[in-house]
Amino acid sequence: MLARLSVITLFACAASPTIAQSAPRDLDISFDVEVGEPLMIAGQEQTAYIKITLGGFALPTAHRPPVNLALVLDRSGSMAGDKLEKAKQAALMVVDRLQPDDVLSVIAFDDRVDVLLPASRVTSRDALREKISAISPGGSTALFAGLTFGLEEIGKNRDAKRVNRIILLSDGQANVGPSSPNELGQLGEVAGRQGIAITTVGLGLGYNEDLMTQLAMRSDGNHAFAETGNDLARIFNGELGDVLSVVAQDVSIDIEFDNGVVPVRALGRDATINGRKATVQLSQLYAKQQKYVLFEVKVPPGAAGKKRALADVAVNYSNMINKTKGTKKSAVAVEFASTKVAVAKKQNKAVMEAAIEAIAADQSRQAVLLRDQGKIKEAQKVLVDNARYLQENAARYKSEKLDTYSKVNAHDATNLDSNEKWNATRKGMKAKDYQITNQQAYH
Amino acid sequence: MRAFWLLVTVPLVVAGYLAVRMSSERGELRHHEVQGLLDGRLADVRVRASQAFGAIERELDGALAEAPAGADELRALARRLPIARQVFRLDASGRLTFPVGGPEASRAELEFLERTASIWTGRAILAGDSASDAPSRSGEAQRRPTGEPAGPEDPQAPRARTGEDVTAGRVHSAAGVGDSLVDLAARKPHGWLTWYWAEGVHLLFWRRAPDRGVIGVELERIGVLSRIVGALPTSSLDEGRMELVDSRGQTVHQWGPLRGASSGPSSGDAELAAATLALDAPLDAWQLRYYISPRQRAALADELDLAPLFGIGALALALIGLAVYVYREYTRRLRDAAARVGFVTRVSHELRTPLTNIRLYAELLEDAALDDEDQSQRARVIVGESERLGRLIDNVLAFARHQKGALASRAQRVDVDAVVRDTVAKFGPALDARAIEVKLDLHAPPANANADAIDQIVGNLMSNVERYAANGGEVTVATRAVNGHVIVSVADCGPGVPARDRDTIFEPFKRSATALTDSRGTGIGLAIARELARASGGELALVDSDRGARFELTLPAYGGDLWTS
Amino acid sequence: MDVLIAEDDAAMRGGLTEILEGEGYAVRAAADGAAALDLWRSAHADFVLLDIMMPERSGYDVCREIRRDDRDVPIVFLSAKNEEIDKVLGLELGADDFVMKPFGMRELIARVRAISRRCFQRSAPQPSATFTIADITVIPGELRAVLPDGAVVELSLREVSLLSTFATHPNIVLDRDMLFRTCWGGGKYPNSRTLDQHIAKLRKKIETDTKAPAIIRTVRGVGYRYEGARMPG
Repeated sequence: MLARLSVITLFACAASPTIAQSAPRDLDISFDVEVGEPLMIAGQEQTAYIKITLGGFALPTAHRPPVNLALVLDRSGSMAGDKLEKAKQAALMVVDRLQPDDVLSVIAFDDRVDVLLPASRVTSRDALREKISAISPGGSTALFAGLTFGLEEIGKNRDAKRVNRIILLSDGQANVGPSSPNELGQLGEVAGRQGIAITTVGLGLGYNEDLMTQLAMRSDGNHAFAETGNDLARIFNGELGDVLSVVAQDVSIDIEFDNGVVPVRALGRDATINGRKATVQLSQLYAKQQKYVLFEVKVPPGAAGKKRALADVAVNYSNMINKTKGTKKSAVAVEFASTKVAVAKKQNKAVMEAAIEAIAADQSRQAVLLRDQGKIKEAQKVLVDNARYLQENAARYKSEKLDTYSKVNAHDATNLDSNEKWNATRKGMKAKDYQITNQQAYH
Repeated sequence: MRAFWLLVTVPLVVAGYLAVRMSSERGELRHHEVQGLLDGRLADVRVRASQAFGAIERELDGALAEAPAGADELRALARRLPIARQVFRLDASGRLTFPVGGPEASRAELEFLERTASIWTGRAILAGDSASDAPSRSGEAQRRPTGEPAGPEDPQAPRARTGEDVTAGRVHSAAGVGDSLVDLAARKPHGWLTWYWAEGVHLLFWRRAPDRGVIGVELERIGVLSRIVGALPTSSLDEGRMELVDSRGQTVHQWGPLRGASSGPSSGDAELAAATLALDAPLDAWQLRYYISPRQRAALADELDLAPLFGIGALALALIGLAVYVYREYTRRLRDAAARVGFVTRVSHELRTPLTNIRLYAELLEDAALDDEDQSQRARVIVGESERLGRLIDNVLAFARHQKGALASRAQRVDVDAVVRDTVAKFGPALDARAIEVKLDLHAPPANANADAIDQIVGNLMSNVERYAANGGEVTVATRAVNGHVIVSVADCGPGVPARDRDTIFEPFKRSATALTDSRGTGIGLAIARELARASGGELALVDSDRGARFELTLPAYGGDLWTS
Repeated sequence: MDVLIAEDDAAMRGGLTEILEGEGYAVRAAADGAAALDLWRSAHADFVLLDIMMPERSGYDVCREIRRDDRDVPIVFLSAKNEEIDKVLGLELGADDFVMKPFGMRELIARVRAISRRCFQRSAPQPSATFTIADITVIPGELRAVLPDGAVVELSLREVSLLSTFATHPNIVLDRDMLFRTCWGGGKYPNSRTLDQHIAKLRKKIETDTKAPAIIRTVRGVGYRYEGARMPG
């Protein structure tokens, strides 16, 4: 509902690649807890948005944690030709960027699974390159099995000191083995709990974006939509950039809300809310990126001038550079004021921006659902409204980000009619929504 | 002929039957062997799955060992177990203490309670394996692998299998299976519960807690599946295909080069698996299937083993070859004989009519001669010669006919004297013309012989007499019985036969030297006569005599009469 | 008496016809089995002589057909086949006798006379009663005559006819024509030599001295005369 246009503070995780929010302090992560409206209107129950931001730190040169990477590549019949060629090239590029201390495994799947390269250190690149070059297209798509063996290979070297990652590339619908987004999402969650993030790359217009986004989301990996094989190089590079710049892993955020403050939901991320407690897991933090979690909470009415503590937040993480476990704590509170002007003056633009973006992303997801049900007109209305909502707030907060996103929504609204266009549009929308929600660095 | 074919076909049939039996038994044996091989391979794969599952079990057992009771600790514990979907806790009285509803419960916890509500309240009959690792399959579970929908009509209500540990009385108690689980925990340290939900089988691992309660986890189905699949092979050693199939019959993972009839997800319907094996409990809703290639299937099928068949086939061919050869020989001989007989018959028929005509007309002439003695004489000569010609023809034909056996088989009671008399009578005129007197001394009992043969033999002898005996002499034809035989002797007063020719005169186309200048006679008369004698079961011999030639024909007497004159 | 002959060989057919006509039978000859059956159906026959191997229908077939019509008429096979089985078959088909080729005239005549006797015994044609001529007893039914010295001679049918004619017309000259008329049936008149031959044969049988015949005397240029007592009747 757009009613929340009134006084909205968003809790969301977002990273803006162009902004280094916090300056790195001695190879440690940055940790900030903010609220959208530090000054709130007195005398009424309101919704507040708490933003917990975590930032990575610059990697000391040539000192990055070793990587435990599995490439799971779809080589089903539909990949034949240019797609597979480009995929192989992208994979070869990955090989080139790894170091002897890194562990790489390559799994190819069609309706069978082939562990082309069991988990091994990247010592002999030539042999590796040969194996990758030799991949040839085959039958149908056993995505679940391919992923499973990727997890097996990762499992051989999975340890906290490594960045454990799976890059899954597929161009088609999984049709052998479990293939529903829900099931695969649950597998992603299992992987995520093990500290393995699964980045999914969808190639072309034939893959199941729901499945791919679920898989990525639940394991806290990245997701990208490659329209053609030519996009693969860029995407893989972006992904490798992330993988090679992990500074913290096993990030666990525990929030305890103050008595009376009711957490409504986390925006965009999976959070477990137990009464007044909530936890959110993040798989990793990258060197020059920020991720944030946005919580929407209900604040009971307060008297003007009175302070009110909102939440205590603790973050536990593994520092990959120091190889230590770190903990940080913080808290956030609000004050009550009687005038809207005062409230408006103190607004935290970044938090509001993030919150609005997250809400808009949520709306966009709604539009997708409506369009899936064939309700084209309703979906268009949602997107148009969304665009307007974003435009208004872009003006209010002077936010370029919101402005851009508003245009994207407006554009998407025009692409809902034809089914072929919808297919591509949907993939684009889901990818974009995901990247916003995930604060993904590349796209 | 029939006996002959019987002799060939009966052993063939017997041998063929034995071969078929042996083949099929060998085929059956091999079928079982191969089936055992396939089952063995599946069992090997299952071991992997069991090991992976065992590892999961050990992990869980270890992780749950402390069995905290507090909500926070339990939640933290769950976070450390990636494949745990939800952790739960029962106290010593079997009451579910975590998760509980209320404001503190997360959405996931609430959903868990919904999902498993009927388990704890006892409306569902929940059970586990009676022995931890022993595969146990009850009626319901057995239906699953064939692909029937696992879930009940109401997807909300889980349904479970019955096991032995849950006694009837307990099942419907208000506290539900919780306390029976506690009872179970008293007897076993840990165990599994399975029940069916939307996608398939769901697994619950429980462990005895130190406070005599129970701690357990509901597992993420797909997580378990993924762990199990990860332990399975990705390639196979043979040309078939193996699959892991879930409780709905959907292929979860497959390996091996053989492609299914439909290259889609579930190829199970299109083909028939050569072997299937359910995983060990509590995963026995999942099944390993083995599909084999047509070539492998051909080897499995109860086809006749070729080796013994080749042997029998060779034997049969040999027998048939032999039979064919013998048959052809036989029929060739038959044909030859028939041809000969046919020839003979035809020739004899051809010859007899003109011969008869000559004779008839000669006789008519003789009749018409009236008192013209010369004319009568001429006619008589013609008649005599035609008779002679007849005898000659008979000799030649008998020679060509070669029917020894036939003669013997047509032996019958013959009045020898009558035949001899008739035969001798035919030569009357010719002998008269040469003034040779015929003396008959006939005292023979009946013989067991062929009348025509006797006629021909005696005729040949008389013919010789006519030819070689001197003019004006006599020929004595006598018959008598000696020791069960009948002897017909023809003795003349001719020049006789030189001693050196005694044996050779019986050979065809030989002639006594002294008769060289005598151009009459073909020289097979005696040969034929002796052949005939022997064919009749007797003998013809030249016997010592004072003067002239004396031939004796010996024949078996009829009934072996001994009648001496 | 009428005889039906079936024989495909022309010479044999001619020979048989001559012999049997000489015996005093009226002969009808067919050259094949079908013609034989036609003759059988179209005219009367007192007995049948059949060759076995014939065109159109074999002797066996003809025998079978004749037997269907008449179970009594004597049938004799003339055959070159001398297999035992053929004889048995022939007799089983209903033939009365088998004559093997080659056969002589006398053998044939003997068989034929035997058949005639059987025919007489049965019925037709009704033989004449026994009669005497010059102390010779002639028994037509047996085709025999008993001579004064007791010897028995066989007579042909014609010979019986001749003797009967003489016996019933003693002491008159019977000219050729008359003898032809009475003893040669049908329109087939032989020439004088034939009559002379028959008389000569007859004389050989019954006269003591054929050069000086006493019973049947020649009347030169006219015919013959029997001198003796008239036979009653």
